[in-house]
Amino acid sequence: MTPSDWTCPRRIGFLFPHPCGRTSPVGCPDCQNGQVQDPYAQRKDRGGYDNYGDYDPADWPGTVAASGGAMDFTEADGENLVKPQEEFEGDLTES
Amino acid sequence: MAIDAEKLRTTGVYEAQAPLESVLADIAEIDKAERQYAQVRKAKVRHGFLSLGIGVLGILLAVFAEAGALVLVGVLMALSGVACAVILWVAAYRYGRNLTTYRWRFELLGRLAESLQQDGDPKAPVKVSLGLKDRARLLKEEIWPARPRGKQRFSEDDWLSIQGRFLDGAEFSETVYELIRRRTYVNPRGKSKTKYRSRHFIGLRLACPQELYGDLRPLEEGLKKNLRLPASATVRGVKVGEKAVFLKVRVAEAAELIQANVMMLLGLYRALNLARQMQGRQK
Repeated sequence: MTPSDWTCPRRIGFLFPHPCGRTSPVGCPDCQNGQVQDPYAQRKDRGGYDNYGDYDPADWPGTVAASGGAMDFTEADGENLVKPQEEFEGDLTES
Repeated sequence: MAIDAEKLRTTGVYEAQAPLESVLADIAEIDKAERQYAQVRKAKVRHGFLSLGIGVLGILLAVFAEAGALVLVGVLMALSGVACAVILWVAAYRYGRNLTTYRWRFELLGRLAESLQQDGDPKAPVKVSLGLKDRARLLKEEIWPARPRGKQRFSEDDWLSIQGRFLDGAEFSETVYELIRRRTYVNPRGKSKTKYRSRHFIGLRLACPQELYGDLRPLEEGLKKNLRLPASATVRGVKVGEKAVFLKVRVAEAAELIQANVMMLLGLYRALNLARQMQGRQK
């Protein structure tokens, strides 16, 4: 039984991770009824980008190396990418 | 928002400013309308044959009837039957033909919208303009000196533009156009020949919120190095500014357009995710 105030904490998304926010995993196409722990990272349909979240410093000059080494995304990094919805709605005047 | 199918059939342009979900619903309606037009075309062809049958009966009547009045009726039946058949067949050929010819375009928009929907802001409307008929404008016409009496014409058909916003606040703007080259010449046997070649170009611009992604310029080299595309696609331009990224890709095979489109987005966002990660670590 899912509590009434429960919102799904999982990361979903195709291009970038964002919070799922569903109130129930039942019938969820992303986590498939709660069976997939990290739907964003475990996607297999990014044809040509099998290592989507991995960054080899040699391939990303001036970025990964400058930040002090490997940039393979960990779950903790993933949490940093996932922002509450309100932040996405923030100031867009910059863009 | 329901589409005006009749207007779409006559103008050949689909335009909308609505959430992606609504655009997808419109595309389902366009698909339905196209199928209905195909049914109407089939019915017109059938009616054309029926008219032709009446015309043939009229001819038989005119040939074999003995009474003068019946001969006249036969002639009238023959003339009107054949005329109606021709009119119906021409109408059948033309009715809603653009939607059938360019079915792949709205199918592509549908697949693109489905893909964008996964990360698109459901509240933000997308602005779409989709050409469903030949709107090519002539760019240049010149002598083609390689062949006797050779000429070449270059034209461009800007058939898709779409603008919207992702959940991270990044604003995307995409245009797809077809560049067409048509060469005509006379071969050694004196026959006039035409050769046709076309290429599609996708221009994709992402304007990103700087507080989330920081300065994007350090990504340029990595983006160029790590961008992956389908076999018939080649990169024609990469520009990375402080807050925006622009990517232009040429696609030779129309069948690979959607794949190229999705791979462009993935390539850009792979770089942006890295930028966002670095920005997060700096805070």
